[in-house]
Amino acid sequence: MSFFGFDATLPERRRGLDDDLDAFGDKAGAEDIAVYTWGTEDYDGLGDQLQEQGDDANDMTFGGGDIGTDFKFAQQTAQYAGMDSRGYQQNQAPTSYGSKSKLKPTKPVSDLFASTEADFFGAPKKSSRLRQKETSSRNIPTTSSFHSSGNSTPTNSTLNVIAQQATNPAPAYKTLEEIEAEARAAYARPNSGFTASAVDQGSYGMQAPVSAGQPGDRPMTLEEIEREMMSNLTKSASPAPVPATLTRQMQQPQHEMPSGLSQGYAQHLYKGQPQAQIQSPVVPPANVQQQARPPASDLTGIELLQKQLGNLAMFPPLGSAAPAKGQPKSEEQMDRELEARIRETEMAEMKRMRKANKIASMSRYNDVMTGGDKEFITRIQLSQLVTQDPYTSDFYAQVHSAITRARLAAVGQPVGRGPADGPTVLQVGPDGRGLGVGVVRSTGGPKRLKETAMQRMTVQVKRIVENAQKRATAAPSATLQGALGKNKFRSSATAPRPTLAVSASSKNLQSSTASTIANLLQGSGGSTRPNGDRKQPLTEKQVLFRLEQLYELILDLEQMRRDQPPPAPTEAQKVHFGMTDEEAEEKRIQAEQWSSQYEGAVEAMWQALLVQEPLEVSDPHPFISLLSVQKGHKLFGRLIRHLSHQQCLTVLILLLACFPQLDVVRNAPMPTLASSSMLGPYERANHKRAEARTETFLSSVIPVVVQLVGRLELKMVAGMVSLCSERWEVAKVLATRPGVALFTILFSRAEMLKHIAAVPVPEGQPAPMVPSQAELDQWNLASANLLRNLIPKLPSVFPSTQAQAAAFGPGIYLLGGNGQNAASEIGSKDEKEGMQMDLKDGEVWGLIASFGLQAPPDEQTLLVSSLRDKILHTVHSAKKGWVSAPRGELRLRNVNLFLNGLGLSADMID
Amino acid sequence: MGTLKSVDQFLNIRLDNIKVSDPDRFPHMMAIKNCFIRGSVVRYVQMPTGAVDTQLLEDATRREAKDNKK
Repeated sequence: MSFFGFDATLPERRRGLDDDLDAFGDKAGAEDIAVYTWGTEDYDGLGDQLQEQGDDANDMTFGGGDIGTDFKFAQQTAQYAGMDSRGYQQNQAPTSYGSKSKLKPTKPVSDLFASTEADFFGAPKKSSRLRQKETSSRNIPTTSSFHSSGNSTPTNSTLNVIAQQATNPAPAYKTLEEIEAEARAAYARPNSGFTASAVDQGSYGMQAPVSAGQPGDRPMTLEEIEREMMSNLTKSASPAPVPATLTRQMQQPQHEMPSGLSQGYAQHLYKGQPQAQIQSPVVPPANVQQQARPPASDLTGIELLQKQLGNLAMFPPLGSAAPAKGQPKSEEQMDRELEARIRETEMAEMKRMRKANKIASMSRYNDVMTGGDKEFITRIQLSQLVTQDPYTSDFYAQVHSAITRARLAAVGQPVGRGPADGPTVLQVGPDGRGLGVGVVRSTGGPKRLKETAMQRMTVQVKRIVENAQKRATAAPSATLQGALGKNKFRSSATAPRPTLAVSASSKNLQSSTASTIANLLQGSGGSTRPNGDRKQPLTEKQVLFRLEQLYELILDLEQMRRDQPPPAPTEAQKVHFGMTDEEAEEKRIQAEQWSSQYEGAVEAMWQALLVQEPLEVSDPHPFISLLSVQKGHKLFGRLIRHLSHQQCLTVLILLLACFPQLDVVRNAPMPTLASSSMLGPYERANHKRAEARTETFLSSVIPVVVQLVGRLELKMVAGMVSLCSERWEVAKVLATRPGVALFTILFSRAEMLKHIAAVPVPEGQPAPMVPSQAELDQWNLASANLLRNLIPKLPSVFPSTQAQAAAFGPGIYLLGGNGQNAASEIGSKDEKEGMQMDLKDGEVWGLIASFGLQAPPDEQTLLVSSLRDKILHTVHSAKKGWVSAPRGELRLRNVNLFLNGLGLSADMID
Repeated sequence: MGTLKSVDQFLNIRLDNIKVSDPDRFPHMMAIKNCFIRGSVVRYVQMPTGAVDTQLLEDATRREAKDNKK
């Protein structure tokens, strides 16, 4: 099919044509193609009746100037098209390009502007999506459908039309490149309109001449055209028939065919791919009109085209290398490429369609449930959460929200819901039944609204619960067929299968074993046994059992704390609140009951703690065993809160006495010089675990110890220090971080107390903590004793020294002198690990600084001289740049911590 | 991903203001604002670490276990 003498051939079809071109006239007959010879007996001679000069009536036929809206077929078709899609853009893109394409159609295939088709359509795609959204929402914008009609005004080139029509066929799109290539090819051919038209005629392989040969009053029917087009599109490889009666065709007034064709074409498109067509019907008529009205110079369409092509020739192709003619290879490649692209695009399109369909099909269910329905479900769900004791069953949410609220309040943020402005529990029943809603909502909407909604919900949930109860009481019992007796039906909704189907018996068994173990321990370790009776230490399992037991006790205690009744009112309060004596008495009794209960629970816990066990009962001591796991560390702080001062003291002394038995001390992670990469996987994991244990110990137990020690008198501190120096190898303990921390606590407490002693207490103020002179003496003695033993071993306390020692020898305890201090930094240590090492060293330096403060002057000298090498090494390493700058700085700071205490400074060391 | 609105005894979940974290796999969920998920099809639930107090949760489970034991 040829439009106005333009070559619209698909490239693969043109293949043959190109070859034939030169010998066109000769070959036409020899080709295995349909040759139509008008004038044979079955020719009806209609062609002769054509008016050759009939162009004058064109305006009448097609309307001149102002076109009515009747021509805007797209308006009608768009309503049926429903969704607009690719076809839409395909029309749009080339048309918008088309007006410019007068300049650029000779571009090579590797067009800069459209490397792939996807690229080419990439930009408009988005907008089409949007548009699609609009249209799919069932009101089709009729205005937008006529969108591109502006492009098809008579000013447009014929190229335009062809571009549009050529790109339309759904199964095989023609890209702009193709069209360009065709235009090029057409131009490159012998420059007679004749040939061009011939090629064009062949290009679509239509029997256009036949029908066109008919008189204008009997155009092809749409069905015919469709059929022909289909058949042509399918037989792609066969050489296109070259009509022989071109002259006739040339003489045809071009108005009938194109319009009929384009209509039919559009129709075809519409059937083939409903989505791909909206604009196509619009453009052709407009163009037809333009075409059908020959210009004043009486140019035919072909002549017009040639003129345009001539124009094109004036603009050399931008990319040069324009394959004008005789480059079959590149054309083949192009074809392949194009085919691939077309397939790609088709796939993408199909995928998109499927997606769109899916979404469309699902959108049928949109808003099936109203908001009320959804709320109802929520209420049903909530009604199932109603329990007898909402505070307990919603324990986590209640406490968590309380904590969060407290934290928020502390930060100063507005608190959405607090005890003050709303209950955390919705009461839905008469007997405290309810459900917890203890969630902090910091984003407070309109409060009034929320409250009414809450109330409504409460009422509804209450109703649901009541109904459910009624149903439950009138539980239907019916006889199952074949069953003996009556079976009670309980739907799975009211009695869901429990998730954990652990039978009660096994649980009892477990708890009983736990209690027997506990009894065993308690019985065997009780005071009935003589002192000094050795036992096996607790196994890990026993420890865990006991810890769980303790946790339960503590939870009870904490719950009791929460439920603590107000203390018995004093006389003044009684008057103030207008209480009767009976009420006051009742309160008092309540308070007493509570406190006795509480004390009982504390006592039970105290027993369970095994603190009272004799010191030598086992190694490690049972209580110390409890502190061997992280769980125990975390428990410690919570335990201490409930204990009396005396009990705390006992715990502390026991802890100190058995400090070396602690897991974190005994199995302290050895600081290694070698970076952890040199350890085996097992060792590394072990090391990591030990480190983690130490961390929790330092973060949960040590603060509690600080708190306890903070309440001690100097006498006690002195006693503890001497206890330590008597009972343990202090140096060994000091080599661990918990040890260092402990001694730092003790020494700093002593220092503080001494300060208090030094400052004269103002008259009239109670100063119970001020140590007496005797206490000071006692402390001095104790610390001096400790230091005397410790000073020779001090250098070995540093983690860095230990690490070096470990690198050289089998164990850290083998090192004696200070010789290894000078050992240079053994390479390969990670900077990060080194930094940590220095930080840990810093802790030791801090401790030694407090030692230095406590020591008498001669001891101080001793201290400095014993540490001389270490100090020198550290300072040198920092100053001479053996270590990185931040580490050097850290080291200097560490050393200065100690030296400044003695009135010295690292700057003095050269 | 969304705000938990309610959970029932079957661990059915109702979510509000949901977002789809893997839109490629669940494009059809993109248009949905709130949903009800049957508990049996839930593989796992992810919660931000900061929003969970582990120790408190441990305590809560201990309490529950104790209550069940009684």
